[in-house]
Amino acid sequence: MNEIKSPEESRKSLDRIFRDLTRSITHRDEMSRFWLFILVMFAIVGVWGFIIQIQRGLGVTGMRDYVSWGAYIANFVFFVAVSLIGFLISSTLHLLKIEWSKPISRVAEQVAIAAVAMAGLIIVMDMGRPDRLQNVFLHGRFASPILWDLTVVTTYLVISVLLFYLPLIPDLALLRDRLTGVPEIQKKIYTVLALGWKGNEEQYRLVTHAMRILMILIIPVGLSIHTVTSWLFASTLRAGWDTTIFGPYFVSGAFVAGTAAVVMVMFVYRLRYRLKNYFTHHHFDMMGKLLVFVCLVYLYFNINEFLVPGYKMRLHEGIHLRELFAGGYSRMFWFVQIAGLILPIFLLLFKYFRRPFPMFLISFLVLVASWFKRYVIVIPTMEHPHLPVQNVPDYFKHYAPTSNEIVILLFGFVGALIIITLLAKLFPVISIWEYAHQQGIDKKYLTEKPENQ
Amino acid sequence: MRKFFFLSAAVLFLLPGLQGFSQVWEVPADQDALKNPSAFNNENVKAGRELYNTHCKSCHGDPGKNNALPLVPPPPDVTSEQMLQNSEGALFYKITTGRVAMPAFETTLTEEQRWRIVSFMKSFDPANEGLLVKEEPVKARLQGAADETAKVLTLSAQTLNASGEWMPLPHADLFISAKRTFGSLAIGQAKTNGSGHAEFKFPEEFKGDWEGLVDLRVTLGEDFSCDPLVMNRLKIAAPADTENLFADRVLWSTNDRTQWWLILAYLGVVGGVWLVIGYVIFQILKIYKAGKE
Ligand code: HEC
Repeated sequence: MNEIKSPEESRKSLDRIFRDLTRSITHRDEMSRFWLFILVMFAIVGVWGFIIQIQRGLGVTGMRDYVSWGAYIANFVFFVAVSLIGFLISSTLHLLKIEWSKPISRVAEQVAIAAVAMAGLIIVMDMGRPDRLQNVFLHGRFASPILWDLTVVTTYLVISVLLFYLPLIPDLALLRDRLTGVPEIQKKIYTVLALGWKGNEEQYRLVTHAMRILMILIIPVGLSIHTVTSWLFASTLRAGWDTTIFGPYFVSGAFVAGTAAVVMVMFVYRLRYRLKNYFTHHHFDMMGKLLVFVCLVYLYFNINEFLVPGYKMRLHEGIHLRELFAGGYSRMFWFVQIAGLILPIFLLLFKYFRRPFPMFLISFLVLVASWFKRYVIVIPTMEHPHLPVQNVPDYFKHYAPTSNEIVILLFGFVGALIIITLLAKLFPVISIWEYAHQQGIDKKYLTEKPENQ
Repeated sequence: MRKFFFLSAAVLFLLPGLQGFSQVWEVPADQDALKNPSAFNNENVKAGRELYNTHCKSCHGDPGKNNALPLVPPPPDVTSEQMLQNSEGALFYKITTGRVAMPAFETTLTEEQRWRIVSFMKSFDPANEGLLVKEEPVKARLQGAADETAKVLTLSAQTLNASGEWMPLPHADLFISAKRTFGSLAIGQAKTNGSGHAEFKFPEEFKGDWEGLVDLRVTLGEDFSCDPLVMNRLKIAAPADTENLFADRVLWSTNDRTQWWLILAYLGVVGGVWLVIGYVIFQILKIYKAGKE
């Protein structure tokens, strides 16, 4: 925390901070309209693809009897993975009192909310009869990991939204009091959501108290969400999934994907909303170190996951692993391992690559590899069942997503980007009051009415 | 020695060639030219179909359904191009001599029977269309009752005569099967007597479910158009002696038999988490109230 500032200084620097951090809300130009337009276009195409799928059934996808979990499930696992970053940054690092992570918390929560909301939606889009969704609740079995997954995804979404909302309340009051040049209705929303915030001691105490509880609560829930997702695979007896380390393997992989996603969003905000002084080189440097660290943990699990069965090459595991190491999936497999793990670890060891732009590129690579990693986890196993594949046409034996499927897959990404964009357009991307506090500005200036109004 | 070396080299050289060669099933010209001595008529085709169903269907599958066993080389479907291009003589020769996975039927079936099968197979040849008199399936119906203690089914078959009356159907084959999880299991056959009645002694050792219940179906042959006679939940079979894997509270049971630890763990964890979430929401309400003071 910086030195306590004088009243004069405090007011001035609060004004500046407020202006900078609400730029994402007030700033409207061609570029942002174009961006939204593109997103909405893609979303419409995705919805159109989904309507076709509803009308004609899942036959429009590449999934058949043997590969009944295709790219949709890979997409689902990917988004669940990305969402985990919310709990790593805004809870774990927070509780460890790691100062640099504080301005990144809200970005992490945005990414978490967007990703977990999409994960839920993707599952619905993977259903042959989404109109029967309620049956999962009505007739779901307590013994089924699918039911557990559904429970934990919804719970995590609720906690993430609360964890986004709670530290936002003082900011909402600031927006209510100070923001100009936005539509009346938007101001109304701020007023309602600000819950009559006055900034008194009791209110601050309640916010801190509730946040502390949530931050602790989200740790087990966050760990469960991806562990349970991994159990969807690990609780079956199939080559490639039948392993005991799937829980931690998935969780550590999730941190890799999520960190990369947050770095990309940070970079874009920094550029678009001119936040160079807020998302500094130092933040990218630290995020780079975090990425190396989680990559190393993930690498450790990968070595376990492939070396141990690979040493034995038991009958079905052997068929599966040969397909990954040297068979039809080898290119994807080695791309994922090298571009998604080895290369980033190597590059990010150098300070040169932990600067914003190189970090952005590396994160992009990591994110792409993360997606294909899920593909490599889901599909090859499906193609190698224990019982022989027989009496089916050739196209049942190998899976490839159809174009109809791909537009629905893209919908997942577009949907997540729309959610992130809307959150950035409505709320500051960094917590103003916490940032001001860090800069040594006393709380009492926050609730002052600015003189120029 | 030198000669031997030469010979073995030649054999080694030829072997792979022979193997490729063997893809085609050569039929001697005189055999290929043989003509079917039995007449091509409904009766022979029908007899051939029955023989086919007992001796060949297990590998070659149902005609036109391409559901043959996946052997190497694959047994072709009887309606396939590969099968139909055979001359009558060639079919007869191949059935007689067999090759690799295809058994030789020289000793199993008489010559007459083999020719009947050829007639049946040739009935799928488009060139033979119209040669057979199309027989409309005869309308028929089945009735039956079960004596569960004596384990006997009393069945009767009737058919519609020209004036639209139901008349007893004599000397017809009845097929009795049981419904099983993945299809039906043939149990046996019965033949109606002169007055259209038949009795079927249910096999003692046939297993039903845990209570000895079975769902039975009785059908007439393919020449009749007749709804199968359905007799569900007859307590006529021996009780299954397999263990009922759902009797106890086990992991794979439906919800009403879920294991207690699982219900408690699930509800405990989920309930606990949501209680805390509820508490947090309560705190948010308190924030609102604190703003009013
Ligand atoms: C044990 C499985 C089996 C049974 C039973 C069997 N077949 Fe075959 N059949 C085969 C196989 C395998 C082939 C392919 C052999 C080859 O091409 O070398 C074949 C090939 C044939 C062919 C030659 C097709 C061609 O390529 O020209 C004919 C004709 C034939 N079967 C008729 C019959 C008839 C008639 C019966 C019953 C009497 C019968 N098969 C029973 C397995 C079987």
